[in-house]
Amino acid sequence: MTSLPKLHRFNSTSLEHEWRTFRIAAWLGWQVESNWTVPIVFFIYAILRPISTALILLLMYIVIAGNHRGEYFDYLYISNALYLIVMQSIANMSWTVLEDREHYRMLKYIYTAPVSLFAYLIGRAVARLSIGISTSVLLLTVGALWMGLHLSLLSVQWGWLVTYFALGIPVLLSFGIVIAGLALVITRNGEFMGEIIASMLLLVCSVYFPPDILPVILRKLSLAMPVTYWLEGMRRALAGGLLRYSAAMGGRPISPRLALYSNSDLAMILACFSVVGVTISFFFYRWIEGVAKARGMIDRITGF
Amino acid sequence: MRSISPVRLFFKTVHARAVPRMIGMKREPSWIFLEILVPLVNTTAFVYLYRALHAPEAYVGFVILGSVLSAYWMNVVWAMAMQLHWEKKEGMLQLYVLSPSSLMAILVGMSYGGIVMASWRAALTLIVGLLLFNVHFATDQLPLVFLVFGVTLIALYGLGMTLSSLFIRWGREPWHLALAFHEPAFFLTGMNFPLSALFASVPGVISLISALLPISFGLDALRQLLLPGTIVGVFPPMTELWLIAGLAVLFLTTSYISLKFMERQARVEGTLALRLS
Amino acid sequence: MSQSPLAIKTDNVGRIYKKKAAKRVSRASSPDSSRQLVALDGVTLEVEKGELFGLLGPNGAGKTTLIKVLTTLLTPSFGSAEVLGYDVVREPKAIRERINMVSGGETSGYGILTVKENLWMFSQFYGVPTKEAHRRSDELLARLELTGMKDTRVSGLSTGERQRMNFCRGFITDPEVLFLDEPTLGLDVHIARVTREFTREWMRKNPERTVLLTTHYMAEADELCDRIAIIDKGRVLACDTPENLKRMLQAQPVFQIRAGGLSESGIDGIRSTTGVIGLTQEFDLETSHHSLNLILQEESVISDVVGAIGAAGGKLVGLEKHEPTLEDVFVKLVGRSLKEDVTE
Ligand SMILES: Nc1ncnc2c1ncn2[C@@H]1O[C@H](COP(=O)(O)OP(=O)(O)OP(=O)(O)O)[C@@H](O)[C@H]1O
Ligand SMILES: [Mg+2]
Repeated sequence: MTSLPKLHRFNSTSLEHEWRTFRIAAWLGWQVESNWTVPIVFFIYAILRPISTALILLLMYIVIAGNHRGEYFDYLYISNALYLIVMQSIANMSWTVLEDREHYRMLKYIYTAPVSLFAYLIGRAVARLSIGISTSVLLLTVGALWMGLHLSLLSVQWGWLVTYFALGIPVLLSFGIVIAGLALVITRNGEFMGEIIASMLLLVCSVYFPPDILPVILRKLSLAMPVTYWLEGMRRALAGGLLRYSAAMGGRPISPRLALYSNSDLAMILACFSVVGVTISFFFYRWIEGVAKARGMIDRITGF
Repeated sequence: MRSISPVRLFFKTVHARAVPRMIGMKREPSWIFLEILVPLVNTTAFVYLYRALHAPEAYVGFVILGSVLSAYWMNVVWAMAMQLHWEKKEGMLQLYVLSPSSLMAILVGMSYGGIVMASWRAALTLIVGLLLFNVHFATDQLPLVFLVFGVTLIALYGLGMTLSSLFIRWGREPWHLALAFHEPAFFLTGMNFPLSALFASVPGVISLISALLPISFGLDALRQLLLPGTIVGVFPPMTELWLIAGLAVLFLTTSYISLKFMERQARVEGTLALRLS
Repeated sequence: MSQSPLAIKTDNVGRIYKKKAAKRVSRASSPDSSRQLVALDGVTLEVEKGELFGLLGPNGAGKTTLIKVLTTLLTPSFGSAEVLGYDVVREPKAIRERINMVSGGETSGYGILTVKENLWMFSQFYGVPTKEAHRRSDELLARLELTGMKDTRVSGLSTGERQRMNFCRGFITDPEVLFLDEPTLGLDVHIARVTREFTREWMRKNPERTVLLTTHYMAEADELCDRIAIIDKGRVLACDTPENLKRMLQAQPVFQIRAGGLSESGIDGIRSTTGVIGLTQEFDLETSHHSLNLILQEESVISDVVGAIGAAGGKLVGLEKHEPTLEDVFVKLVGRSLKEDVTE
């Protein structure tokens, strides 16, 4: 009558417990995202929107610059593809909370179950993150094959790519947690929060254009955003170096401001942001969860 | 017995269903924040993209007008889809079907509230465009501008109601599809670039789909009327007006037929009150 | 209309649901018939105008399905149904103008609106003049003891308060036929009584109005309804006034027995005694006595029952014969009680 498995369960540390929550949440996240339809439709769904955005940008580029793709197009295209990862991990986190609260009426059960909501949210975020990464890769492939994007596996600086990517993920996730926390205390229009944040980031993270052309205040804001540096680093790594305007337009870097930073400068900056971001998000989240509880927002349902 | 005429009942219902939206706007003013911020920021991003590309200043005007109409587009497809999904889940839809009012009246009431919301958004986008980006619009054809705008809206909401009938019958799928067609529709309607550029670079089938979306020609006509000389239209504005009017008739008819059909179908299949599909 | 039609008339009406197969979970063994569910299996009913008619049945009996068919939310798979002389399939609009429905446990209304605004909104869909709507809602809210809440947003109401508002919504359009599907679900005893009294009073004041009510509470059905149909598995098992239903058991005596020391198998033994038509049990934790309710073929069977109790090792504590209740009728027809927790 030795019940070893049971004993093992009793001894499980809280870290193990969090890990289990996290795994379940990542799985649940995937289910919620995908199981409304057959895989092929889900695939089309996941790729249709990003491809369309890419097409919009392509046409905007063509109506001005004609059919020759300069490095600005690479700037635009690569940023847009990477921005998908940003969107999925940051903007859509508010969706997770709202969907669980209002559509599935689940949040209160998760909340009252002996699992940590924090681990749960991270788990859901990771599910979204992986969707973002795969669509992003797909988009880059499509761009290189059919849209005239200059991208070759030989010129990619793989070492830097891995470095920037690894340093960026904690930043993105902690951002996502902060947003999810905010969504907890928002009632109506919460579903648009993702939209608001997505558009803000689009503007200040130098996705479509370099920070240099923004008015002073926005430029400063842009240079305070970790995502700006992450995108710059990833762009350089993918394109194999600093991106410049064509020789006809002077051949200067697309962003002279960001060109001031060397690759290792960018990595240092991102490392600092990671540490700060993770710390802040953790404490912010604990605080806002308290607020949500105090206001009875965990099982709130709105709508009109 | 009941002595109210169907027409009066229709308008009473439209009014009654519009009221919750109005009250909602008043009681939860957070939407104003949203309505100011999102269009401002979105439009600005595209404006700066054109500037970074050293585009002629007229393109700023194109983007502003595109954003104005996109406010309504978003409202029709996204907000209506969300709302109906919610109503069905909450069992409200079944109460609507139960009442002697037509579903069409309910939807019109809902859209009316939505139009007011979207108009705020559109007006703010315009103000931003005029004040922050110094766009100059030609004002010599204003009556025609309003006519084109009005007809475009009718066609658009006709399309919206046709789509709604899908939400009444099915659950989560059309809702996801509405989301999935967000950016594709922006592409197909030329929200950020001249429609002629689209027609010149995509296969005929895609041009045809684009032509079926009321925003496409509506926007093209408005750009030609308000920013004359800066854009090559697909057709002259008057021709485009007739095309949109045709779409308006088409979509109002399809919405009427498909709402009736879908309601009947949902009754047969027992999906009117399906919870958490 | 020349001769006044019946309020509700169904003729062998039925409804079959097609069940969607669960995704991914592949059940190779499931036969094809399990894909279909006969929720309503040929129901024939006639309800006169002015009647308060009850539908009584266990979960899944088909009560809600029948109401959905009658309220034109669901088309019947076979048979026909009429409300106020109008066919549910062909003339839904004429029916919708004249009916309303309240079902328990459903959110009805927008969280952002107040109770009063919600009621007004619903009344407008029926073309009630605004003034009249306000007058009626004030009156209804007062009766349901919600006056203090009339300017509260629905999002801030408790479940029971929401249900009371829902109840008012049904009456505000002054329907000719009102369908109440478990209207007292989630209401406390006092408010539940208020709603019953109100329903009765409303019918007294408007003798032409008809109510079709479903409930799980025997007492509610007994107290309220003029006639009751007991349905199970989509079929009507009996349909009559509560008195007549009870009279069905007149020839079959009902006994209440209290006994100690009985096991489950012992009770099963008593149940299978010849002459026992129905048996329900309750267990008293304090005294650890079983309380058995028995419907017997004839009085003489009781001696066999007492014998069976002794044989099962039980000790008889009390025995009395009582007048049949609706509950007994239900047990006899359906084979189990609504009170009893059925372990399946
Ligand atoms: N939309 C549906 N699709 C498939 N089956 C359904 C659907 N609605 C009801 N059923 C099934 O039909 C049967 C009858 O359901 P119905 O809701 O009419 O029961 P009821 O008598 O109202 O029960 P309760 O007392 O629990 O309210 C049930 O077995 C139920 O599972
Ligand atoms: Mg029921």
